[in-house]
Amino acid sequence: MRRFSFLVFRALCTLCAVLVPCLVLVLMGYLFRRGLPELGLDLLFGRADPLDAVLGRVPVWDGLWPACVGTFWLVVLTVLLAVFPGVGCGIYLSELASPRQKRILGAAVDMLAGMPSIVMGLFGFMLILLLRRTVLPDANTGLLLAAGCLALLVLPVLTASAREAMAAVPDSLRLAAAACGFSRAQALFHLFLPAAARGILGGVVLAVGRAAEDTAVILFTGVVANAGLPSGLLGKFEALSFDIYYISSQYQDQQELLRGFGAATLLLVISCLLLAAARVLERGFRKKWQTKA
Amino acid sequence: MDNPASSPVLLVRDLSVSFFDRPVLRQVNLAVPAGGIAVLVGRSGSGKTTLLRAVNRLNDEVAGCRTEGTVELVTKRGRLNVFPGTGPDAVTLPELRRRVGMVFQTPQVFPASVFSNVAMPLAVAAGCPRSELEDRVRDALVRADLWHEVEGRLAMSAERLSGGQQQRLCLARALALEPDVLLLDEPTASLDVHAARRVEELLLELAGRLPVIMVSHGLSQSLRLASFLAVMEEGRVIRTVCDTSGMTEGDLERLLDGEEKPCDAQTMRGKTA
Amino acid sequence: MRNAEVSIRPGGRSGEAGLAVIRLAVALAMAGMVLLFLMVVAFALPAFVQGGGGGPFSWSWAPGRGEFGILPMVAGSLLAGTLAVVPGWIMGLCLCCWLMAPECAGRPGPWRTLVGALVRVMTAIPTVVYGFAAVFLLAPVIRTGLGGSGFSCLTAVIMLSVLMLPTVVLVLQAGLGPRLDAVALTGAAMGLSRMELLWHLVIPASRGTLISAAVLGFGRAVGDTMLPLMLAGNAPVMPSSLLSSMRTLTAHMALVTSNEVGGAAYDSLFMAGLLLLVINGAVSLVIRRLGGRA
Repeated sequence: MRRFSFLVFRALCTLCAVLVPCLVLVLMGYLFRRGLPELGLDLLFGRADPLDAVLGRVPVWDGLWPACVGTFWLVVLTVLLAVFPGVGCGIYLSELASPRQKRILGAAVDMLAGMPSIVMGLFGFMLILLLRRTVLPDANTGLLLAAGCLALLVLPVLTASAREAMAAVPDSLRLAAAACGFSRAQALFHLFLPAAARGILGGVVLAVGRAAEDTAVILFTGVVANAGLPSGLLGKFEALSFDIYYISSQYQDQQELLRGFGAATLLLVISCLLLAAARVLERGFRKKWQTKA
Repeated sequence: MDNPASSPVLLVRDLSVSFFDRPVLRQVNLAVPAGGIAVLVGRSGSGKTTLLRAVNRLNDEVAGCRTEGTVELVTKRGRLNVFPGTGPDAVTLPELRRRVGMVFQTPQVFPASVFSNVAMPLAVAAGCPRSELEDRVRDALVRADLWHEVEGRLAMSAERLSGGQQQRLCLARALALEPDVLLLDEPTASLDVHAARRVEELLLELAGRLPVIMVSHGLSQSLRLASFLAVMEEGRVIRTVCDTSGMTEGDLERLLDGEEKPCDAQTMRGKTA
Repeated sequence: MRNAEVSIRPGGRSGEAGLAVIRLAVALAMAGMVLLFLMVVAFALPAFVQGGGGGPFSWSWAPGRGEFGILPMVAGSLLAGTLAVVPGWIMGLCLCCWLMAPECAGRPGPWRTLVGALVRVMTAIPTVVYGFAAVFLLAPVIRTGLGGSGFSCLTAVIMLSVLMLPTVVLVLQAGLGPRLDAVALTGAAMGLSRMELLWHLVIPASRGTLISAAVLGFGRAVGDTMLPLMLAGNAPVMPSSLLSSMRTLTAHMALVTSNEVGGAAYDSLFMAGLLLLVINGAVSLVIRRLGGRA
């Protein structure tokens, strides 16, 4: 009987090993087959002249350019907002926290890491409602608010990678630094932080990926389908991920649908490239310390 | 013959160190005389490194460490209360470690350029003004006999130097801070014979100006370098030898095994302060 | 008698400013988190107090008639999460075992390296892209094959189980890997393959890891917004079969914000947010108890 169940288990394993890659490859292959031919200047700018569109002289109505610009600014703002607290938390957890602080702060960050992204979006939405009822009656959702909520979303990613990178600094380097008369803070800023920079940077790249792909947060915080280029920090904006969702549910004609495929392919490629970049950074970081030890 | 108590550079009284309640040093008493190189010898696990690290309190950086007793340094700049580190003649840990240089068994260069390996501790830890930095780095590299090898490659990563060069760079890094005492933890253990000899010659030269305390693994090396020997066993200093002239490796071997003293060595057993 | 740790004097003042900066960063992050929790709880409270008919705790969602019950959505979320965990967890476990048990002597072949890389790539695939591909590929297949509109509980559950797969695989790998390595040599000496070791020794001894992986997968499935929103059909009722339309809490929240303008509909929105927070908190708690890592 045991023998039989093991055979079933082994067969299942082999089945999954074939099934799962096939499933994913079919989904991705389908997307690429329909989306890859769409990639090109037309996809971005539609009928508008690329140069004029990039300079903002003409609006782009049937291209992904405004969405790309929106996503770009969203990601930049998010990283600007999240890097300082996120990486700071990671350094603190690894270097300075007492065991009790480690437990509490670690639990809080873990909890935040598992939080559904839509809750962050709801948080931003509530913030605006609160502002409207109190000090700013005409507060509205916009780019900055979305970036702030996304910053909360990617904060655990940054914290975890910074914490791991700092923990990977070898003990021998710590002893050598202490023996040279560095105080804890001096050693941290002049030696350990530069040594861990690559690992931390890998985390930043991962965070960029998370911020670029997320849709649920921005759904609540100011994304719209036809905003054009973002007008400012407080303005509405378009985003690649939202455009994909919007087109899938509201597309009018074949051309718009194809644009959706193009957008999905583009976002997929960007995400995979970011993941690859993060892996390269992380691997280089590990190699450096492993050859040294 | 010097009386070790008359002009000691290091005074250790009743020093006990344990890690997570596992004792490594038990009630060590030791007076290291000034001048020359003092060598700690003993079988592995006898507590040499821990004793050495008690002098710059590096044990405090290791988790689960617990220290009792007193450690005192007497340098040309005056007395230094190392442990417990309270009272008027106490200094902060970074200050203590700047005044007590240390070189490790495996070369621990920082992941930075040759220049900043020496310059960074100077600028950051010792607060050396930028204008003097270059001169002091060169001076230290010259003293560590490394200058002409790295003269044109100061911006190169220190990790690309050979093992012997890295170790001399570590020495230069320690010397640049102008320490009162130099601690060495088996400084030649990871080097080949040639590079080791070079470091040894350098140490003998340095010892003329600066008290050196080192842990050594090699009996012949200990005899070549030592002007003072402390033999350790199971966390205690079981013997000290103030005159190593005429000693052979066989004599030293017998000392390590805790056998009776050779006739020309002065020994000290369980001395209480 | 003195304790060394007590007598360490603080290092030089230099660099203390930097430490203050790091403390500030931690304070900022903590402030953000605390604000998040406080807001979600505070906004949901009025709905508790109000009570009566038409509140969030009823089985009927009909804004036109003033009924704002979200219980169908709660049930939908839990149902979708639970249903997705079963195939997701089984597939994850099998895939993980297959990845860890190469036929010949511990060296993964090219096929295993490739599938391992694919699992990592899967962590980076945006959920909205999954959703988009499924709308045009999986939904028509289900429509023609099984009937219905294609946008159903089943469609969403299939994609959710794919979504959670990399999480499950990576958690299991982190948990089972060291245990397998520990017994691999002894086992090989007894003539057992790695697969046999996994089945007979490692998996029975790793209940904590197995449950963590399932709970974490459940958390991912319940927390995801885009897949249910795009694939489940979004009818605000309890699904009667696998092929009928349903709505999860997350999709409900997304729909309410885009369609309603305030009032009791928003109350249900905040309540849904609080429920998600609570579910996620419970998941985190279970994981911490089991010692697994997110």
